[in-house]
Amino acid sequence: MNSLTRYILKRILIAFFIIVLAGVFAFCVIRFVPGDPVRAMIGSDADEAAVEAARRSLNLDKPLFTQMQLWFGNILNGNLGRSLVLNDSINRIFAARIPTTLSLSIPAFTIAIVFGIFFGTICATHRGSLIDQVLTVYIAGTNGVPIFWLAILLMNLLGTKLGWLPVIGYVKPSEDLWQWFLHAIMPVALISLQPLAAVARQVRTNMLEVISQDYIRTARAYGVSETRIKYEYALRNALIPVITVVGLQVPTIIGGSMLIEVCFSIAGMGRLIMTSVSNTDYLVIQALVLFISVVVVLCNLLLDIVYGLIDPRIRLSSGGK
Amino acid sequence: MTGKKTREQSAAVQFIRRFFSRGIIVKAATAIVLLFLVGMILGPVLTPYDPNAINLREFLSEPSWKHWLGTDVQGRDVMTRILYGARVSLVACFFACLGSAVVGIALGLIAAYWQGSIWETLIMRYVDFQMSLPAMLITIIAGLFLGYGLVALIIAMGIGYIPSYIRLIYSVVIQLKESDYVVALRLANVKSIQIVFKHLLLNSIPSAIVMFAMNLGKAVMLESTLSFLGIGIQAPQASWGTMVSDGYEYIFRRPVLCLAPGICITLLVISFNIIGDSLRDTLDPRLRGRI
Amino acid sequence: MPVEKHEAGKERLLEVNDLHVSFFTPAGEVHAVNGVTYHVNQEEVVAIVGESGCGKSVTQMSVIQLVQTPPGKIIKGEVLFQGKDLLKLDRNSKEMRRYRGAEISMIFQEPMTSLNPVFTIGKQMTDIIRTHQKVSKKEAVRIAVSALESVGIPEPEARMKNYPFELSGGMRQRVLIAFSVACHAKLIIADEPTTALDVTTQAQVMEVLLGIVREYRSSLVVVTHNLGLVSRYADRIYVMYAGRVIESGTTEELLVHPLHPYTQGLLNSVPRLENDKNSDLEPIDGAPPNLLEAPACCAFAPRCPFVCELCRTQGQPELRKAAGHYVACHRLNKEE
Repeated sequence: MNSLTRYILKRILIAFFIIVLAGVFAFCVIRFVPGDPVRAMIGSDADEAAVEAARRSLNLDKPLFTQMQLWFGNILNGNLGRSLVLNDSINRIFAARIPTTLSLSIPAFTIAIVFGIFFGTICATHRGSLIDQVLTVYIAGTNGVPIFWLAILLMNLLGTKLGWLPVIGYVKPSEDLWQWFLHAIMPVALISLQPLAAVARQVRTNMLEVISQDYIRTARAYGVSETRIKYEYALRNALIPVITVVGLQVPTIIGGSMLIEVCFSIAGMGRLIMTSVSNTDYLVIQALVLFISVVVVLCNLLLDIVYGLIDPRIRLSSGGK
Repeated sequence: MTGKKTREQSAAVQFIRRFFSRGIIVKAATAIVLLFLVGMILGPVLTPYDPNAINLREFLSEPSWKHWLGTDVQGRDVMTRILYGARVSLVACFFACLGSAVVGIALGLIAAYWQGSIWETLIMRYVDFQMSLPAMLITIIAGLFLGYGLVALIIAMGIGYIPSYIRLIYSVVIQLKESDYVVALRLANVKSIQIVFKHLLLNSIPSAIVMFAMNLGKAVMLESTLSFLGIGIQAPQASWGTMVSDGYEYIFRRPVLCLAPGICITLLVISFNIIGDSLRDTLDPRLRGRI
Repeated sequence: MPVEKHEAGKERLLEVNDLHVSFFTPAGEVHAVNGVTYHVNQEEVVAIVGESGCGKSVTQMSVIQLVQTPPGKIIKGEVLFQGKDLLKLDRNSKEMRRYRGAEISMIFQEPMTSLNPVFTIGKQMTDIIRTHQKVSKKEAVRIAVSALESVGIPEPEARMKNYPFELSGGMRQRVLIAFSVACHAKLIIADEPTTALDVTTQAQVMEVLLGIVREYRSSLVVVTHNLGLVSRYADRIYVMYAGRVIESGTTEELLVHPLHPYTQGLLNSVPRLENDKNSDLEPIDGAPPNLLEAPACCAFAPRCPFVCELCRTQGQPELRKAAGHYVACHRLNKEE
């Protein structure tokens, strides 16, 4: 077995382990939360018989081990259950909201990576210049500004006061692409703000470190042009560790969507989290925890594999990262 | 004895000098944090008002000598509420970070020292699992179990930051373990408990301090976000997050209601970040790019 | 400088005059190089010897303006390569780059870190070849393979596809030597080329390097702290201390009649077979001076066993001819 296969298999095994852990955790939510979750879900005015019936329908009366078997069995069949609060299948609830969230978070993620790398590289190659200073302040600023506050200010300034952009709501791109674009500008910009800063910061640090390495001096000593040294030799080395940082941004993007969808009243997965928490809709919460965890773990698995493919030291040698 | 003491003192002085020699920005950040600390401690002395006393005769009054930042819709003095908000926020964030640091350092040490054991696998996979969820979600779910209240909030936020310490301490200790001097200790038959607590722990403290400062900034942000969403510090207690959400209806009539708390959060978080960066560069520049 | 007897008929390739290089650090200006003058003739092997921190590497880096700026800065001086002053060129200019590699190529101390870890040997070599020669990719590969072959790397075609981490330290240093072979450099500057290698590979790599220099009739500057190493290969030696040349001459002259107390000290600290077993190696007492201030007097005075009043009052000694070679020492001047 060559080292790349071994590396990928190891990553898959770890990802699997984490997903199982997430499943167990999600399973525990409804079983160990204090109070009576079933009553909380179907309403305090329901009679005792209805609560008992609901409990039975959720298999909560069975032994714990059987419950876990049933829970994992349902998940493997792709059945996330039924929300007692919204009185709808959770699969359907998710299916209606996932495209909305993706239509905001994928552009945000792309912008964060592309501009993060771009800004970070510019900063490092023009170290100490005006542009570096401006971008450094920008990075420090976005790490300190509360996103919800910025959202409120922008909504009121660009939306209410100037009327340039719609204030709240969401339009599907399939319905009206231009309206979708207008509605998406502010949310996407706000969601991408912090991940972009994190990527740019990491690229800048890595670039500066790489530029002082011996092999860059070697390239210079043999007359290789500065452009090639910076944008090919140094950038390639600097970007490899950035993959890990990009992976860390996936949960940040999801957290950002949670907040921004609430601020802009967009009916996506993010707002679903907040509403299910305030409705104590435990069944949706446990499905969400598992779902988000699986998404993040799979994204990271993908990035790990990319890492292995890009870095020859992993691709060709034995041993891990 | 005295010789050793003066040497330690001079090391501390040297450290402080180096820390501040990094420029005006670090000094400004430290000054801002100190300012908020003073305001937080002396809040009740500095202001004659009760942060929660409703005074409908003076609602939404303009900033004046009487009310420096005006009053909110219920006639409460905004300056007073800012000071009390700093109080709650800083206390909650400090203890959340402290608690997570203690737990995280302990788990990180265990995972790194007993590398290859089942404990390492369990701890590190737990870290991976928790890091696959947004910190805000972790805190919210922890809130479901713990209920709402200051102590519950502290614990819930603290849980969110445990993995950051575990990961950091784990990587630092793994490196330390390979270092010649730890190998020498082991060859000299020093007990592993002693190596862990005396040598590895002490040597990973600087990294943990840096992480602590960084997490303080993140925690202030998280607390205000949760309070803004209504699931953090509960009304009527003053918190910067709730002040923003209370104030934004009146953003055109009294912008200060929304602007002041937001600016405070921004200043405090940026200051903590700058202090964290500076601490890292003074204590251990090798951590650059990792924290 | 007058042409010496042993140099007659050889052309000057490189001439460095009164070079000053400083580093601007938070602690102040470090005068790393304080007026170094030396030259290299065609087909000659010159050694530059001194302790670490004496400015010998910085001097060499300055020749092709490779000193990191900032913090470093070449204050003044001339670097005449075949009569052209390289310091007059902008350090990032195309013209300067044409000299790097193609005319003057450098081999560095750290073979482990001097090659780009994420590119294959082949990619790195063909990039360099195509920087200087207008050839097709295929032709560049051919040149690279034959260069690898000429430095004694087995299976050069296979090595082209390897990444640096797949090669041993000695192999990597050979690859770096192959870089300069591929460029047909007239002058090779090797900065401590064998220091980081195992003792057993040191001699091999040195032989490869000298073989290449002889075969392509290039000149070689070896920078080292190891007098023993260069005594076997070098035609002439420059001894540097605290950013200045303090003694220079043919290898024979210098090793047999060292005049400067520092050179004598260096020779005494080299182990020799012919020495009596019981005679101890003599270390030189003290440490090199810190160069935050350009020394006002002889920089070696604090460590010199023969220090006298002149050394502390007369300013820095000039290089003067004494007994067949050049030396910068007040005491010898006085005796004359």
